[in-house]
This record gives sequence, C-alpha cells and structure tokens, in this order.
Amino acid sequence: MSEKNDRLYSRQHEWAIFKDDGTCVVGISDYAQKELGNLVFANLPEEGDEVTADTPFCDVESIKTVSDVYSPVTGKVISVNEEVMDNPTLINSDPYGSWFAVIGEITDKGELISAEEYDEYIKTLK
Amino acid sequence: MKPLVVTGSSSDPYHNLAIEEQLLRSCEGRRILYLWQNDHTVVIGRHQDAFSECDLEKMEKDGIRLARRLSGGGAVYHDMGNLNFTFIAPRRLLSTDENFEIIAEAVGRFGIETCRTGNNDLGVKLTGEKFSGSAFYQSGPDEDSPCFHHGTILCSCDMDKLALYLTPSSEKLAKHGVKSIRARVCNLGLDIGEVRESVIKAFEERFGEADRAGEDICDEASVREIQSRLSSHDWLFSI
Repeated sequence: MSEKNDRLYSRQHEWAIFKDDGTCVVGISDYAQKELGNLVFANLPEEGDEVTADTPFCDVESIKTVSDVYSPVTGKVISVNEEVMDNPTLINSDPYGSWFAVIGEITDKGELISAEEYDEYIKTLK
Repeated sequence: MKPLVVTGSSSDPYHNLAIEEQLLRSCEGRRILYLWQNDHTVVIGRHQDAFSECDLEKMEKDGIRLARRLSGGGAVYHDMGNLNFTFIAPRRLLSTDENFEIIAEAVGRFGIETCRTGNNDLGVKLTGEKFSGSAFYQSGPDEDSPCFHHGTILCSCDMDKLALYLTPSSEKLAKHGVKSIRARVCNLGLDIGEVRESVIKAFEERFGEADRAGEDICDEASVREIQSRLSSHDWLFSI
C-alpha cells in the first residue's frame, strides 16, 4: 500500500485531511501527480472563494495536459499554498506535503474513501 | 455509438472555442472530431499572461483578437490558412499517439512524411520544421472524464504575423504564468478544404464511419453562455 493513512481520498484523486478545528486541508494524490507528469502551473483558488463538493475549484497544468481539481467538500477557502503556486514541481516531489488549500465553514462532503479503499480503486484503473 | 464529425462554419474564436467546450460537456462517451478555423486571432494557453506573451497594442490596432483556450501550452497565431482539429472522447478512449497517427496519415496522403517533434508537435520529416502543435485538456483524471486533444495544422498561414504579435522573448517578465517557446514552423502549402477531408477520411478509417454534423448540433443557450465567459475580460486577462 502506497497511500497515506492519515487522510481520506476522492475518486477524482484528491486527498483531504479533516482537522479538529473543523477545517479541511486539500491536495492531490501521488497517483494523480504521476498520471499528470511534471507540473508547470497550479491555478489555485482565492481566499474567500466558495467551493462545492465534487465540483472543480482549481486546475493544474503539466507538460501533458490541463486538468481540473475537484473540491472534496462544500465550504469557503480560508487559505491557499502560495509556495505551490510559485513552485508547482513541489506537487510532483511531495504530493502529500504540498497542500493546495484549506477549506472551512464546511456544510457538505463529497464521497470520500480510506487510503486502503483508494489503493484498491486505483488498481482497477490501469 | 457511431463517431461524430463536426465541421465548424464560423471564424470567430470565442464562438468556436465555446462549441468545442460544449461538445466536450455533452460528449457522453462518444468519440468526436471537430474541425474549425479562427481568423486573425492570437490564442494563448490557459495559464499564460496575455500582457507578457503578446503585443496587445499592435493587435488592437490591426484588429487581431485575443482568445484563451482551456488547454495549456504557449501562444499561437491563427488565420484562415490554419486548420484546427479537436479529438474529444472519454479518457479511456483518447490516445494522443493514435490522434497524431491520424493527422500524420491525413497529411501523408499528399506525399508529405511527418515526424513527432518536441513534446506535442508534428513536423515535416525532411526539414524537422513544425507544422502542427497540440495541447490537451481533461475535465477530471478518471477514465470516464471527457478530454480533448486539439491542435493546429498550418497550411498557408501568414507566418509574418506570428513574429509580429507574439513576444515570447519579451522582457516584460510575468511573475506567474507559462512561457511560450519559439519553434521553427512551416506551412504545408496544401488546400485547407482538401486537408480537412483527408483528416475526416483518416479518422473514419480508424474508428469507422461517422455521423456528420454542423455546429448547430450544440445547444444554443449553452454555447452562448460559454461564449460570454470565454470572451470576458476576466477570462482573457487574469490568471
């Protein structure tokens, strides 16, 4: 098993860590960064943006393609990771440390699965 | 389901890009080939900064439109000497290698041998000069998400304009944004209409006989809505 156990995953390949203060930290999985290849741009949301579960809330560009990134929750963007915007290759080298955004005021969640279930799911994709 | 070939009739970049996006949204598992042309337009990549990539002042003076596409990559100049192709399908069906083969076959019928150049380009084998550049967009990373692979085929494009409006070596450095790369490009010197038919033929040989349609196959209200977003100041100038 290659995925981190400390968080949940979406079938659109985002990860989500729910914190005690009621916020959620979001990034993309190791599988997603590998599929995309070297990232050249991360177009992150802005603080204060309202986001909706299972709906695109930002996008990334790699040498291969532009791909939408889906929000795992419905809520409001509290902060974004400027470091990732300045240096998107961080997502390739450290997908589980390179968070995209922290979302608060959460009112709904999309379907999220455990690391184990996610690992099984990605095995069915290739 | 039979594949679908859609031939555009407009030369307005905002309308054409809206048709492309609407075909993507409504593809429902179908394989689609969309062929279209933009007149007098600079098209920048999704994450480029218009101010640092092109000479906006000169463009405005000469009546050249600025458009931004959904896909990544660098800035290009389009006129009626260029044919655009878009392959749309769910990710599990869309193979960029296969698409490149279709374009190579279509051009090969005119006796021109091609080769892959750079990451996503096709060139004339004899000279290595690029006549086709491609870019990609996927609406999600899973196998059912509709994706497109689109690109240009330079047939008789006004090459002087490329250098005139695009400023990839400009000193106006943007903090963010994807930079354009200057490539040696060439025209195929072929008739656009004949190339269009040849691409359709190569597509059908690969995937079977296709239904043919015009852009009026798209829901008009949806196209209008997408078009107004794609021609908005916000979409064009902020990244």
